[in-house]
Amino acid sequence: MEGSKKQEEQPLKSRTLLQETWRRLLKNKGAVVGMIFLLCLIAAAVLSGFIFDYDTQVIGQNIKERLQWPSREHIFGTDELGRDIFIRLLYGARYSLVIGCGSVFIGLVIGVIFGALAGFYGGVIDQVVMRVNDMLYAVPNIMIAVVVVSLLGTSTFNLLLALCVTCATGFVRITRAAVMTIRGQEYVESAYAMGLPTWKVIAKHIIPNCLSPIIVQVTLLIGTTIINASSLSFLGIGVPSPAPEWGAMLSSGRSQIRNAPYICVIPGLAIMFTVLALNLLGDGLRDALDPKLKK
Amino acid sequence: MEEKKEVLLDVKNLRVEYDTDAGVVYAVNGISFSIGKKKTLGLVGETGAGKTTTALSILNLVPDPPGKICEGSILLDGQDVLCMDVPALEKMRGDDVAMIFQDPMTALNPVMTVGSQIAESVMLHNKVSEEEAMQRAKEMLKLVGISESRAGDYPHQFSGGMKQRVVIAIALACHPRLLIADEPTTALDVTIQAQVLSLIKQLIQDRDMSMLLITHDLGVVAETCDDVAVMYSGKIVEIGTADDVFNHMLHDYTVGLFNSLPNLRKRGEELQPIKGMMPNPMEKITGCSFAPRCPHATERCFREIPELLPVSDTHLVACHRIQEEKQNG
Amino acid sequence: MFRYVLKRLVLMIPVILVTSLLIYFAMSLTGGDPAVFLAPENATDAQIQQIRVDLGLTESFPIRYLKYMAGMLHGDLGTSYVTKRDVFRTFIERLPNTMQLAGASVLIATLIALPLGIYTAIHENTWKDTLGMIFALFGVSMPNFWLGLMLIIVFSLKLKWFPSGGKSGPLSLVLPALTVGLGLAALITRTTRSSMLDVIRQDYIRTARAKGCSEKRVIRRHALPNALIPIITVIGMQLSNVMTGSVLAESVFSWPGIGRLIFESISKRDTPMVTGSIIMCSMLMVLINLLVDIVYAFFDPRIKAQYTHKG
Repeated sequence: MEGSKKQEEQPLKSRTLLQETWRRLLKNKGAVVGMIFLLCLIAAAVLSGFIFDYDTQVIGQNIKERLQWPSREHIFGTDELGRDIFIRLLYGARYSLVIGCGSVFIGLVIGVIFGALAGFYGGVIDQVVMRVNDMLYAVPNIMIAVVVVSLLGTSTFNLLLALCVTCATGFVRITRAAVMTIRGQEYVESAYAMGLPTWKVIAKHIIPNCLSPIIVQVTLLIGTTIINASSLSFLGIGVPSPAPEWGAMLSSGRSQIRNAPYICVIPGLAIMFTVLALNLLGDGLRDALDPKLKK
Repeated sequence: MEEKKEVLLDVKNLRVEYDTDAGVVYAVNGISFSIGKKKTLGLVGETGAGKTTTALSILNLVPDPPGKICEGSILLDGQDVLCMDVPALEKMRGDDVAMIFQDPMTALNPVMTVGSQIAESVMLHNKVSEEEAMQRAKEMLKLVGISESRAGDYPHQFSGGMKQRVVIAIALACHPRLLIADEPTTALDVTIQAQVLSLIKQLIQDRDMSMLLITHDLGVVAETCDDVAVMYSGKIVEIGTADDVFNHMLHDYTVGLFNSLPNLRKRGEELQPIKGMMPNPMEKITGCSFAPRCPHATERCFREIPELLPVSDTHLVACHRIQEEKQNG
Repeated sequence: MFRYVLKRLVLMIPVILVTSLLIYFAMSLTGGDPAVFLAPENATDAQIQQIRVDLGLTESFPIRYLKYMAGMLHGDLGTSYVTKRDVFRTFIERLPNTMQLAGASVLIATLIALPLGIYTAIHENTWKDTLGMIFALFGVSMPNFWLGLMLIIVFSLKLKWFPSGGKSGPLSLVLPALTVGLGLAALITRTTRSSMLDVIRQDYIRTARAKGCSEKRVIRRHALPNALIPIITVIGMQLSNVMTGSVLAESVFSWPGIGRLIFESISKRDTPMVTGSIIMCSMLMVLINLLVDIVYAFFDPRIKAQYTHKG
């Protein structure tokens, strides 16, 4: 057994860590499928803005053609206002992606800063940050979103803000834990001994070392956030209509669930496959970044 | 080695492989040895030589997958362990053959009290009530030098040496006939090592048990064992009585092993490590596996696998050179 | 152990104070002028001003907040603008419905996830494992409310086995509980599997096997109790998601719980109802988290010892 490990490690040195991770990621079928799906989705989100006209094709109503089941003309059918679901779906990808990535990114920045501060300085700062964090963590994210949205009003950007609070809590925990373990280690002590200022120690030695769990968490959290965003839109406090956000599309289809269930089914599938792709990629990344886990 | 009648464990041509993502690892490549009743065999070799795999094979506990026992037989009192059905195996484990593991820190279940971990062993193999089993567990604790009152404590409340004593108590709770001790002192402090070792030795003697002692510490072997087998890269290269191996060693690997030990009488002299590394266990070896590191290797050594053949009544060596010398007188 | 619980309870007080302050502050900024809501349609300015004084709205914010909190101590969270009913009362009336839903969901999730997680871990890298993991992956990726709608389409509209909404006897609980429970089950299955795999590779499992434990006993007595510790953490961490899930399921199935109460109140701009409910919910979550921590300590002697020593 030891021998096999040795053999695996030898070629590792010749490549950089990034290349090695990438190689391992490509070996994972699920992760590759997830990546391809996400690339297609990004392409759809970007291109749909050029191909389709927002006012006529995406939100323009066409009562004559309302509630048509999927056919050759409208491959996913039309909704209760006669809009083509396929076009709306493609256009709606941008909402999910922007809200998902945006709020995770903002949450990441906030979370890493506070987590690093708490982990690095400990004491009172740690106590305050962690208590607030626990508090935000304990309150269901939907409640936080309700408070934020009712404070600022319903808009895509406010939804993004509401969701980034929830994202930040996870990053605070991860960063703090990583910093606490790394802080005591000798190479950090030696960086200090060499006279590096604190912020440089944090930026150069500590942050790069908690990167792996954060990358994995980012991928998985974008998925969760997409679900949360569509949930809030579904409840009517997310992206306001008539924007083709997937959750909002689903919500508007509810009234027709008896005679046109496809209006509900299709946007849900879009959400599910997007999140599935992100989860596959996230699981793949976790295995690729931490070879120890895989024996 | 021993008269046939007295043999407790007889391992013949055992071969174990691990099928991993990176390829097949040939961990044990056809080894044979036997242990007599009330005798102690020391199995010596470097890390990765296949010692632990050999030990686990005797309990038929090689993790499968990825491990697989491909060939051979392990006769325990004439019964082949490798052919036993599951109930027979479970009956044998702990009752006939017990094992002490290398790392006492991780060998105990953290959410069970030590008392109930010992009592479990008793209850599995004897028809006794829970109270009786616990009583036996307490007696066992006392036997290994731990106060009875600590039976209700959890493993995290014990030190490393104490934990190893608990592991010993679990192993001996059912009076096994064979004890396998897999580097029982490696993970312990030097001062504790001697205590634990002498405890094991004394218990073995008191209870007329046989023991397979796995170690890379030649000092421990010299102190404890009747017979010694030297293992290299999944094979036994030399086996014999302690006297044979310690005082009349023949195989170049055994010689190298002794030369790489510090010796008080030769203070100031440089240690002589064996040059090179153990071969990759994922490659199938043609010829003697030690040949690349052997100072006396000839072309034949790389071509032909040497068999383990006797040079005296008790002493066997797997080396072409030694065997040729013997033939030539 | 008792001291630990007491200490945790005391530590809860600032958390509750800060949470409620934030929520109260935010909601009082958004709610518009309550007096205008409460006044009859043709009220004069003077009448509205009188209502303001009656409600104590003319006082400064800190005083209002303190009065509000003092009211909370004896179960007074104000009166709903819409129904004119006591907020605390309404909340307490609705609470059992949400509790039922959340409880049933956690129960369903655990009943599915524990056996499935253990099963997939034991059969690691076989088709059984793969199948279980695909199920779990889909479950994790599925939006809760969408699953609810799908269940309605299949089991209510097509098969007509269960009602599609409302609360009417035990049958009506099935679909909402499945909606929340299945997503949760998927998550717990994944945790259970990885936790079991982790534990099964430990040395003490080998010790147990070497003792002669049967495979069943190894799993039940040795692996599971150790694997449960991280599983309980995850279930505990998911409780706020169960709450979120319940809110969504209540909305999908018109289940008369707290989630629906809050969202109906939002759409009717019933600020006291929203504020009171959210504060109560948050307190409830803090309390539940404390309970989880206590359960956690109960399962892990190492943590229990830590608490009993340090108090």
